[in-house]
Parts: sequence; structure tokens; C-alpha cells
Amino acid sequence: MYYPLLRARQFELIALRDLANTGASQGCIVPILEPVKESFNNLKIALTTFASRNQQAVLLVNPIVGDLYGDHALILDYLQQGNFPVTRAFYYRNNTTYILDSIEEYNLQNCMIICQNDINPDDVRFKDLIESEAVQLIVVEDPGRNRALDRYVRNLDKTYIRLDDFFEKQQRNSDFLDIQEHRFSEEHLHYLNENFNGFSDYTVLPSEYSDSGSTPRAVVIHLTYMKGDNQIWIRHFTSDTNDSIANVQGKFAEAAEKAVQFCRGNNLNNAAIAELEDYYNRQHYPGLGTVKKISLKNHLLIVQDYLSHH
Amino acid sequence: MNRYDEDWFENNNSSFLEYLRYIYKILENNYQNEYVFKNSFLNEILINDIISGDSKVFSEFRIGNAVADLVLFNGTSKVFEIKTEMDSAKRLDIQLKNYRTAFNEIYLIIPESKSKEYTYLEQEIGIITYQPNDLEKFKITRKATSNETVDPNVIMEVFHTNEYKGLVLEYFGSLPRMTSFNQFEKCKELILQIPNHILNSYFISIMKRRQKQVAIAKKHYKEFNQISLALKLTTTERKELIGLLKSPIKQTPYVLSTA
Repeated sequence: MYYPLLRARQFELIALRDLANTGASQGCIVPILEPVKESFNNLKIALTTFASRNQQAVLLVNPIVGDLYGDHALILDYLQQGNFPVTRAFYYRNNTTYILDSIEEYNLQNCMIICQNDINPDDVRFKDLIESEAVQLIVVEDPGRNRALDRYVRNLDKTYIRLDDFFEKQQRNSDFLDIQEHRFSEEHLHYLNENFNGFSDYTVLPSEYSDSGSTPRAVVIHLTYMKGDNQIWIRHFTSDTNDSIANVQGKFAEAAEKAVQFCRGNNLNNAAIAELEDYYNRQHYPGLGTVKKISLKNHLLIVQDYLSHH
Repeated sequence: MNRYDEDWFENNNSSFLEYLRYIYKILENNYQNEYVFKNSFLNEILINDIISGDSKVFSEFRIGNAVADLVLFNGTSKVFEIKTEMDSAKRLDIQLKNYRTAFNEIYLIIPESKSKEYTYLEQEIGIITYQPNDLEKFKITRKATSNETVDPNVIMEVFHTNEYKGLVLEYFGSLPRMTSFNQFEKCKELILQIPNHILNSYFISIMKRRQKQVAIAKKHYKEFNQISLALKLTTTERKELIGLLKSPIKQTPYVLSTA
């Protein structure tokens, strides 16, 4: 099972809704969503779609970035009032009391805990939490970095998920011009053999949260694709005219031209690529949010395609 | 900062607002950083024109490969480049080169003590000197010569999509056949045909239209005028900000310790 960790923002949610609506993601992709905005309008539409399409999802109730930062009851209340059948997830940061109190107060079961790899597995309070009956899914970031924690979680007989951060953000978008492609991820090949129940990552988006988007000097379309030996590679299709912030539409045209040519030349196709080709054929610039949505959707479809055939 | 702050730790009733005004005063008297410099200039020179709505002023205006400190549009366009005691003149040549492509008048604002260092500049560039202790803090020691030739390629990059499309529509009466991929180039071809002095006037009026009226005040809390301009605060937002700053510091002492 693939658990992409995403911020619950507009275009991430649209991508997930698109996939749930076409039945593509059910059974192999379970998104973990971290709300970052005070308004839940987009989230509500997505959660409603998930419920009606039987799409499993996980919601983080104590975000570590964005407007909703902190250990509070806001999201827990919201989910309870809306009666949304999603798994509740908590970031662990020495907050056992908050998490156990929340579990009790909201009568939660089958919760997920997301752990950084700096946790000491001998910490009694941590063990109290992790071993409690209500906690059933445990995500550990880069578990190879903390072998003691890794061994401890492995022996608990709970759903164990590894979290990796693959996307290498560049300081400026135009820096992607020099990086054509590189190997991106192969967890889908190995996670079961290495006795994980699932794998998680930040997809083709940076793990670092940023709220301030200014007009970029370069437009990049990041597309992942499957190479011969089932490794996932990423290719960065970057605009060439990057000396000012003007004409973002023209920059998109340059990047889309490269991406579409590559996909056609290599017979790559799925719903996300088809969408990109449609914009390209109509010479229509859909906005940077949609560019992100296409990148994300393509990546989820690549993983989904592999998981549903293996 | 500790030696300035001691009294504030002790006092139970101090608000953030009072603290910031106090700090502002200290900076104004001892250390004219860019914020103080810009804010004084707004308050001493530009404020009446801004309040009346005749002029629109931008803080940090991107032009070509440079970002101008202050830009003013009324019947003409003026750019003000601030070089405080702490600034070096290193980027000045590049900045001026960019400013010439789009603005009618260029002014350099410098501390009076530094005025000798800039005598080498071309005569067309105006110089304003700053002397914080004088009654008249800013003096125009040399007026800028107006140059109304603008570079349409540079202007084009300043325009937003709706602005250049609006200009083509207004001047030519219709938009050419185009897609979102090539609209920039198509419109640019046409805008290059507009006589330069007319383009200059359009540029000024389009920029005046872009900038909404920002909330600045002549009397109350004028230390915060530059922040209003930089954040483009509306009257309501400014009131909200000042209201929040009026809360006592004591409630969250850790904020003070990082100040």
C-alpha cells in the first residue's frame, strides 16, 4: 500500500478527487493529508468524494506546518461533526498525553502515529502510546537512520510504514534546467520484502512547507515514469526563457513542449499526461496549480499502475 | 538590544506598539537603516500626494534585473534609490541602468555625510540628501532631468497579462488572434508599434491603476507608514495591525527576548 503524504491544499485535493472519482486509487493508494489552511471548503469536498467512492484516507489532526499548527482539537472536532470515515493520524513529538487524551475523548480506534527517526524507543511514554490498542499504523521517517526504533516497531505486529523524502528541491526552478532526469524511488519494489506493510513519501513535491508563492522565473513540469527495471525515474521539463518573471504562459509552453515530446517519444500515457497533452494541443495555459496537479496525478498513477499489477 | 530593553522587561503595562515606537525613535536618532530612511521619506516628502490619491507609490518595484526601493507614479514616473550609511554603491550602476529603461526621473537618496561620494554620477540623476537632525530632513540638492524615453521590452515585462491585453485592446481597438501560449509575443509586437511617449503615459496610468490606495496616516502611528506601504494594507488591515500591537508585551514574554 502506498501512503503519499500531502498537504491538504486545493490542487493536491483536486488530484486526489480526480483519481478517486475514476476508481484509480482505491485499494492501492491511501493519502495522508495534513490540513494547512483555516478554511476546510476544499477538504470537505474531497472527504465527501472519498466517502462516496470508498476511497480510504488518513487525516493528520495536529499539523506541524501551516495555519493549523499544533496539538489541538479543531480537526478532530471537524471530522467528528462531519462523521467522515477517515483514519486519524498524529505527529508524535513528545505529546503522548495529548494523543492519548484525544483518543479517549473522541473514542478513536485504528489511529496512525507519524514518527521522526530521532525517537528513543526506550522512552516509556512513547511506548505507552505506540503499544496502545487504538494505535494500529506507525509511520517512521527514514527508518534506516534509527535501527533501535526500527527493530522495536517491527516487532509490534502493527501496520508499519516507512516514510522517505525523495524530491530534491532546487533553490530556483531554473536550476532544474541542468538536471534532466534521475532515479527517484524504488520503495514500491522493496517494501514488502523488507517487511514493511506500506511506504510513504512526499511524492513529487518538496517536503518543506512554503506558503508564499511568488511568480517563478522558470516553469518546471516534473514527470515520473517507470524505467525498464521498474524503477521510478523523474524527469524535469524546464522552460528555457527564464530571465524575468514575465510571460509565465510562454514558459509553460516551452516546458509543455518538452514534456509532450518526451511522452510521445517514449509512449508514456495516462490520464495526467493526456490532460497535459490536451492543454498543449489547445495551446492553453491552465495555471501553475494545475501544473502541480498534473505532476502529482501522474506520479500517483505510475505507482498505482505498478501496485495494481504486482 | 538588551541595554535599550531593560526598562521594558520591568514595566507591566508596555504594549508592543509602544515598544516598537521606542525602538523606531532609537533607530531614527542613532542608526538610520533602510526602514527608517524610507519611512521618513514617505512622511516628509511623499505623504500629501499619496493621501490625496494623486500619486501611487510602490515599495520594492521590480524592473529588469533590479528592484527599486520606491517608485512613484503621478503625471510622470520617478524612482528613488536609497543608499544608507550601511549600503555600498556596488550595485548602483546596474540599478541605474535598469531604472533608465522605464522611469522618467531618477533620484538617489543618500545621507548628507556621503554626498561627496556620489558626485561622479551623471547630471541627469537627481540627488536628495538626508540629515536626520535638521528640521527639513530631506533636501533636493540636485534636480533630476526628465527622460521620457522608455524601453518597451522592459515595460512589457512589468505588465501583468491583463494589463498588456487591456493596453492592446484600448490602443488598437481589438486583440489579435492568439492563444495563451503566444499572447505575450503577439501583444508585444503590437505594443512595440506604440509611439514611445504615448507608451510612457500608458505605463504610468496602468501602474497607477494597479496600486490600490494604501492606508497611511499623517499623524497617527506614522512610524508604521512604510510597513503599510510594503504590505499594501487597507484601512481595516492597518487598524487591525495597530490593534494587535496595542496588546501588552507581558502576555508572551518570549517574543520580547527574541527582539
